[in-house]
Amino acid sequence: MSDRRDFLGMVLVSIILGIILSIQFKTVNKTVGDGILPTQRAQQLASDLKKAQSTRDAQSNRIDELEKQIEYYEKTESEKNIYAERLHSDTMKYRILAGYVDLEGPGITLEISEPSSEMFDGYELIEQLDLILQVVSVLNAADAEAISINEQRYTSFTEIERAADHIEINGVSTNTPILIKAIGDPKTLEAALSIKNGVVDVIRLLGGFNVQLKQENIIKIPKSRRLQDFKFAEPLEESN
Amino acid sequence: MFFALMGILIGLVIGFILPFTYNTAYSLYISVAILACLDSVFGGVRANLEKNFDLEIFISGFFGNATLAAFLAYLGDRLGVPLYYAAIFTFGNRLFENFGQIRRSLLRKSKKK
Amino acid sequence: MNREPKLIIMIFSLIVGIFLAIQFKGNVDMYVPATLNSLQNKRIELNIVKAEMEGLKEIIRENEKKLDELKNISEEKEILEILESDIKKNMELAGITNLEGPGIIISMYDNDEIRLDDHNFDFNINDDIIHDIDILNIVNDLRIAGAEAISINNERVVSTSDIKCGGPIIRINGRSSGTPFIIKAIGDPVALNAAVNAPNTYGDTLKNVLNKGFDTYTEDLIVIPKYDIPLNNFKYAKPLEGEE
Repeated sequence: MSDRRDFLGMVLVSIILGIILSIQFKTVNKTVGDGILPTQRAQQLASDLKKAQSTRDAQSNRIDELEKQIEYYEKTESEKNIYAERLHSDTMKYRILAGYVDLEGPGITLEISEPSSEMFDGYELIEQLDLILQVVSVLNAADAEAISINEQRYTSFTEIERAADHIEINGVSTNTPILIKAIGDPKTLEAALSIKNGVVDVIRLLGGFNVQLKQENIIKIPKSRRLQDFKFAEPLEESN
Repeated sequence: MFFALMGILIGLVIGFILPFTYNTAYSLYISVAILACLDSVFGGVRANLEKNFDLEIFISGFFGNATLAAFLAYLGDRLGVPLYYAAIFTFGNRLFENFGQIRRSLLRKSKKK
Repeated sequence: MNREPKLIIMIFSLIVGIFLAIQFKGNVDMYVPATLNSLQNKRIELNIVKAEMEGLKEIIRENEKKLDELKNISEEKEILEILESDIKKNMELAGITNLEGPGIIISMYDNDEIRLDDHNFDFNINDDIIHDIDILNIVNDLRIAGAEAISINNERVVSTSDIKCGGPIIRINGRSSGTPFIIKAIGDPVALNAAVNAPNTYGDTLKNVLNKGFDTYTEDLIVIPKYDIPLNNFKYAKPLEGEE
């Protein structure tokens, strides 16, 4: 009779194995998509990604081109009229504040990177993104005129979000190391960041990250490439 | 030994000349199968040197291992688990073992002479 | 079974060689079986780039429209109209206009429970006070949820705004401000509410775990003032060549 039991046991186990196998197959298929092998899919995704990235770069270039042309026309037209000229130069100030102009000037660069040793047992930077927010605030308090994080312009709409295993800034995916650039008075900016127990100390000593802070003579900060629409907010006429 | 090497070389030339290629997706599985075949050939050479070459074992090993290796790689891909590492480790290991034995046999032979 | 072994071996090595050659010809990259994780990550990346592309397409479309308008100016009046609408739009984007719309009002204040009669003497005064990092996190969460304008104690938050602890007060836009901190944000009230109240958000943790003062109200009409510090010319930053 123990033969019978063994037999039944085998059958049961085989059935369970079959169920597990089929569930696994279905799960894999859901992620990969029907009719295609995972390795193929990986290849496909990689090449799609490359193509999409190059299209996006081409689009960026086109935008630069268009903007140069627009600027040219606006300038020549507005030179015909003093009021127009003033409007034009005021607009430039607001555009800079809004973050839609490429800028260059003296300032600092701050690079935060995770140490490569396996002894790093603190939280990853991705779990402490508010450290970056603090750096930005300190820089602004020291009169930084423009800030970028990993080549993303910091604007009044900029968000820093954690997405899976990377970081999203202005909706663009990026990852450590984090390079923060700021244009302003290099000495003031550096001093504000490196005061004792200031934000650089916190990042270095409490967070355990590698921090490199340098004054620079020429820093380039790119413009924001995100279209900002006001879907909920409307301008309110001044009541004076 | 040398016959095996010559065989491979001639095969390489023929393969280059032949206008065949297959779907690159499958190349992952075929490469593991090739590893298994290489192992069989090395095993055959070693058996020959030790004078216990058995045709049936050789042929069944050649095709059997190749098929199993390829199938394992394919199954692993479908399941989302890299099973093909098992084939790599096994056949790679045996390749070196066989090679070691071949070396010893050859050196012993030359010493005897 | 008496066939010359060497011959057999040679034949089979031939086969191996043929396959090897075919593999080489295929010019394949290093293959690792794809894990489900890497597939998903790649897909997420791809979607992000695609979204970027969409956004850029919009910008291109707008710019092309604008360029057309400019090229077709016939009267002096028209350039003024274009410039005036330009400056208005840029003022809005920079934060130099008063705005109104639906959104959320958040009040953050120090926890003023007296803790001395707790038997827990480990309490840290810092856990009860609102810090700049708390406000920074809430502002970031609101932006993730699409906030179009944000103000703290009626100070408009713009790209150059600082939010810094300074002892008992917090400095915003260079002006000192004390508790309670009233944060207003215009946007989709549902999304904004979720961003600060849903479980596991920073706001939820502040309120329910750290017991700091954190109240939120969604509103149909919120008024957010403009950034009112006069805008001087930039001393250090200059537009890149070709943009002047």
